[in-house]
Amino acid sequence: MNLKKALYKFFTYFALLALVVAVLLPFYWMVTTSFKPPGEVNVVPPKWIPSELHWQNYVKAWNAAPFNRYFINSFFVSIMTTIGEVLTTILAAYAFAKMDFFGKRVLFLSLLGLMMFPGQLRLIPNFMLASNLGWTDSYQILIVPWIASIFGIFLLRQYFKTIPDELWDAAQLDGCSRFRFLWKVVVPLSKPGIITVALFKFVGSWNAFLWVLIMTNKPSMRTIPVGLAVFRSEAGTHFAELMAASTMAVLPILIIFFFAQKQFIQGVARSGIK
Amino acid sequence: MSKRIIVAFVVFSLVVGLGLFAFGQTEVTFWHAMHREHKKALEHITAQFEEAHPEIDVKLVDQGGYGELSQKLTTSAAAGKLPVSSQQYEDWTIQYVNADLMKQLEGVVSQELIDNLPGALKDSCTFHGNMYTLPFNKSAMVLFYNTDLIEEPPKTWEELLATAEELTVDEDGDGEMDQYGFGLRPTPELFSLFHHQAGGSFLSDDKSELLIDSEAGVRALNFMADLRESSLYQTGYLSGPFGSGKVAMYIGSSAGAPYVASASKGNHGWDTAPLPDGPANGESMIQGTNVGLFQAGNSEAQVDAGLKFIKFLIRDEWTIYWAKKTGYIPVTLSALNSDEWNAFLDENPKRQATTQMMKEGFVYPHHPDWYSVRNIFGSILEKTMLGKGKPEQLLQEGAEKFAKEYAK
Repeated sequence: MNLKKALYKFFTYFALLALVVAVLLPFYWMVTTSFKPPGEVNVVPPKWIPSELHWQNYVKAWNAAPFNRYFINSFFVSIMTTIGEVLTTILAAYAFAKMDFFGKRVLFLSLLGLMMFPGQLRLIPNFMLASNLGWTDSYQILIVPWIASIFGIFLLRQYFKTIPDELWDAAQLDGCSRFRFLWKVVVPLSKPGIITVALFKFVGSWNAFLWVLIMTNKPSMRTIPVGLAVFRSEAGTHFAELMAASTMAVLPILIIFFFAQKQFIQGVARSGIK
Repeated sequence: MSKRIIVAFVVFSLVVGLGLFAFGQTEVTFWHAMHREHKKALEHITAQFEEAHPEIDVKLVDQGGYGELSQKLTTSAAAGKLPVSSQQYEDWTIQYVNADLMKQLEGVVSQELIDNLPGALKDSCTFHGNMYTLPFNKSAMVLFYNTDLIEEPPKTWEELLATAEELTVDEDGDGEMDQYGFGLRPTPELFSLFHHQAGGSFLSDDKSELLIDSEAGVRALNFMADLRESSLYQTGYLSGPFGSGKVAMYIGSSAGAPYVASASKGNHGWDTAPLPDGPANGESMIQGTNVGLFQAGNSEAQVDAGLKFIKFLIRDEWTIYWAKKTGYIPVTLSALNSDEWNAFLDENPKRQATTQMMKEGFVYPHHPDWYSVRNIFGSILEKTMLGKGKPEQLLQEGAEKFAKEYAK
């Protein structure tokens, strides 16, 4: 019996370890390649440990494009869209979860229906709208359209629905307004859900590519993912420098992940996102 | 009093003068996908242009890679917000021409300038019989070879096969090749090259038929299948395995030379050679983009200023400067034959082959769906390489697919 248990444990851990290696391998390749000298990047079989740490790749990558500006923009846009989305999402989700108003169900289903339209389909009309508003090449266009999210509303609505209505009844007896109840009771009770929404938004904004590319022309308005394109050309890719830039780009996300991995994993489990 | 008047007059003149200067400039936006040394060279040429034309302000806009540039142009065309000028591949241009977005250059640029372009580049810039673009960053397919292994590069298809076989070795006898004579990247471009060298042409004059179902098509496919026996076969760029010594030679774009140099550094010597002759010819495929002018959404003054700029880019002085700094090739015959370029080739013999290939090149036919049509070649190649069909049958299926889906 014990042997059976031990074998089961061994195979379980072996399978998990194999999965961990499979997931970490590309990441390992990215980091090690970022330190490889030019002759070791594309060798067959791959060189897993660089013969020397070629820090020059990082210097070259940093100087290949205005990455300092790209980093500032990525941080600013990601933080602003995250704050904006959290605020609008809390308000909308509360209304859908706890308030009764005319057409609530139709409105909610319509919102969900809108999620079926792929972003690419809306790109040209959005660009025309931004262009007519004179918003291209501005922070407004990188932030304002992204401070509301149907997915976030849906996620938080489900979360808010689990809060008992009796709390609202009790709060009313104490003369509490809807708004105060939301901020003093619902929000503190829904912290994990709100953090999940914020994390997904931050990562999404940090990685956004097509929107930034289409809506901006000035280097001063662009973000890191657009900057990574400078390492590719029609005849090849500067892999070592691309990996150095990618390593730098992924660092902030990694740091956030380390600090908030519990919420991240709960968020994935809660939302069903893979 | 008079002093005050003089000061007031000077200030007024300065304000008006500067104002006129600022508001009198015509803005030309130029979208490109050039980075690093290429971008610096483009910026230098642009600065020289602005110095020569103070009335024109050229705004260079880096749009990332070619894929991103294409996406930006497509979106901007739909919104009517196109730049004055942009780099563009031929299959993009024909779509803009068909949508009446481009300024026609026939009769606008001099006949002297047109006659000064190599034949392949003239073809590359001509759509529906009219010139719409000027060549800009052009490269040609050449043979890259390892000089530590090959003294005399092959000159014919037969020699290429023989050298590839000879240099494919399993040193330790473990059944896996330690070195391959040739690197085969089965791209539609490579098939097109061999098909052309075997005497084939792609499209009928009215563009209704894909003419690959021919003797030339079969020869090209069979040659690739034979080459595969002595090749490292992979879909990624070959500069890496070539640089590491895994592959002794490969055919690729001359624009890949900086990657080859970087990958080979400290490993082995390398050089480029003109392509081995096929049964019909030894011509190379010319690649790279052209520059054109968008008249839609831009004022006549901007388009005129843009024309001055793109003509400036291909002046002998600047096309040679561009080629020296970037690894591309000068795009005019006078520049290719100039003393300055020949002196540069004497100092940089690795660039000889590309220069020769440029004079003997060909380009893809212009078809608005060419990017998708290429996929037909890709599918045929894949099946051939995997031994899933006879060349004759696959080529016939490809031609039928074209007739069904793309015939115009």
